[in-house]
Amino acid sequence: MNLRQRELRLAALERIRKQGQGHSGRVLSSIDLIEGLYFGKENERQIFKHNPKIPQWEERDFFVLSKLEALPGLYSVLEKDGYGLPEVLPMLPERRVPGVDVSVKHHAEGLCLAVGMAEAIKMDRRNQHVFCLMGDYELDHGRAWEAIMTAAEHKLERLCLIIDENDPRDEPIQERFESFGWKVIKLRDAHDHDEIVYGYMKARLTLRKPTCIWAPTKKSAGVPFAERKPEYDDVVFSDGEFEEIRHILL
Amino acid sequence: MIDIKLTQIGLKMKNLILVDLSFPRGVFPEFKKVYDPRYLWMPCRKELVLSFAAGVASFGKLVVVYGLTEGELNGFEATVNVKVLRHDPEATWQDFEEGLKRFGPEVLLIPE
Repeated sequence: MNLRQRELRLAALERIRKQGQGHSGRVLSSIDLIEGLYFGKENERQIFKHNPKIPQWEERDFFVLSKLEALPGLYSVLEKDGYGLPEVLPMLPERRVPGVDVSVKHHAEGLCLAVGMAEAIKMDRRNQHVFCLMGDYELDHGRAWEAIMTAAEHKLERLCLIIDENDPRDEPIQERFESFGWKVIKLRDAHDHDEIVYGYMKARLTLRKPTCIWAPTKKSAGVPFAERKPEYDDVVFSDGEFEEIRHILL
Repeated sequence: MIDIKLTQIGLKMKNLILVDLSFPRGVFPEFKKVYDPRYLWMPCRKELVLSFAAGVASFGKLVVVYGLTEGELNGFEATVNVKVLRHDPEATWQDFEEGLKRFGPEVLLIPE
């Protein structure tokens, strides 16, 4: 875990503590995936085209957060990257926040929006990508599978879906994606910055089909006393726990 | 009739995208023939379609959805230019064309 990953963890947990509510364990499973996207570089070129000074830059890539619990993580990444965030931030992704491209209110809605955006990008032949982060539980929604099938039918090669699998299942979901016509890239270590960036790079190079990056993560990753313990999934860490986490991470 | 109407309107409104949910086949053969890249036949996608349309509309397009009998646009932001078409015996083509020109999410009534 690099220094920035650790700093972002602390920032996200601090944000959750200030709000008084949040899903600490679930945020920590996703934050490395968002960090890798925004800060990842390949040969000094950004993996994710964006400009914090011009949030509405016309040629930017798009990030859609479908996993709503990870929002504090996204805010922390945006702040670290130099986006000027307002003092009071909404509890759900909203377009009025610099760096947030779409407003999302329900689970799996983000994926449907991302598929629509990728369709528009294809129609206009733009040189832009859409990245969408969703949680594995969102695959229980029917509209998620409608979106997955639509993306494959329309060959939306500019769409990259990242699935944060922090609750392993026995079902062969990756094979299902492949049978629908997606390219699946499975990460071995979904908390390793270099591997995450390599996955994004491979996704950008995929042609004629959308890409799914399958990321087997750990809830509360980076906090040894809480890792993979369900009681820490949806909590706000206490002051004492937070100080202990600060000592562990920094 | 709606097919011919939208084909005529599509000439003036270059950003109009038509999403057709009809099953078992699309009901806009004329529109598809003239503007194939702007026509999306998406049967059995009723759960997805409104969010999908919002995603397409976020790039400055006017998205018209036909074949959706349920679903509300109440939760949509005013910046989402998505129109859902529904048949109504008292609708007029003039009102329909004026509705297309208005910006924002809306249910537009079309004559049966």
